[in-house]
Amino acid sequence: MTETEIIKSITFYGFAIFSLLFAILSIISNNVVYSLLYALIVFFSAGGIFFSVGADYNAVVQIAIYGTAIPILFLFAIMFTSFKENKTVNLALSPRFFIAFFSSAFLFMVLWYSAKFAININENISKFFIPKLSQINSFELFSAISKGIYVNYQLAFILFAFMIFVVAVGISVLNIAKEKNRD
Amino acid sequence: MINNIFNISLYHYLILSLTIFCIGVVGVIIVKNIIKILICIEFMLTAVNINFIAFGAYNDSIALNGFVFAIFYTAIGAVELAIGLIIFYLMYKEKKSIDIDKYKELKN
Repeated sequence: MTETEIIKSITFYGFAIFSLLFAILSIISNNVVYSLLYALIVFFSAGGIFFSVGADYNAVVQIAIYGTAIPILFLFAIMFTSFKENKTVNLALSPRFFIAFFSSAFLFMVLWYSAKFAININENISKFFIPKLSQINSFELFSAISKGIYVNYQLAFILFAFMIFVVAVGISVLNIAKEKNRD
Repeated sequence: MINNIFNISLYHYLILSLTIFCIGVVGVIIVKNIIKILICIEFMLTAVNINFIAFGAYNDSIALNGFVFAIFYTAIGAVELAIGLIIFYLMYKEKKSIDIDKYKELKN
């Protein structure tokens, strides 16, 4: 066991505990602004987890988009809504709660056991599940990602750009149509 | 035992992403506030991103396709949120409520 492995594992566990704890807190808390702040911590810790795997570029993208841009959108949505109702409307502790709890627990168990089963069933699959993490330097990372985006998945990249364009146009058209209907 | 704890493998990342995904699912079902439901959907997207990154790092260390797809998926998350928020805003102008139970016309 080397020092770097211990540091990596401590980083992983720290960020994982942070993300799980604040994800639960964000659901439980009554105030929407607090729950948004807790969600922000979850997104930042997800960025830290990416960093611990060696995906620096993805960590930066995660923190730039989920850590800064998306919370601003949420803040605007919170500002549009009424403050009083934000505090009262929170959880539905009816049969819905138990259905949600048991269905997600069932999903968790099924996926967990399927992963464990796959590890035990065959040596080839277990190699697929527990390989060694190879060291990726930043030059290789950037060249692989740029090759992926601009060469291998060029068509997908263009389609995503087109999708974002359609969404931007669609949002403005929806808003204008709504305003006209009101007049 | 201690070696197992400190030896982080793909399995650890899968369990973490699965747990965050399940928290997101529970949140989407039990929370009544629409903004919080959108936050929970973002949790689920983050969990899927962790899955992509972990598989990309552990099993595809040359082409790193998982990393590329995680970037695409982040873009999908942002677009989905923008659409969700504009639909919420337009509905809120009519109903003046953030309670999801009051939007029952969407069923028909």
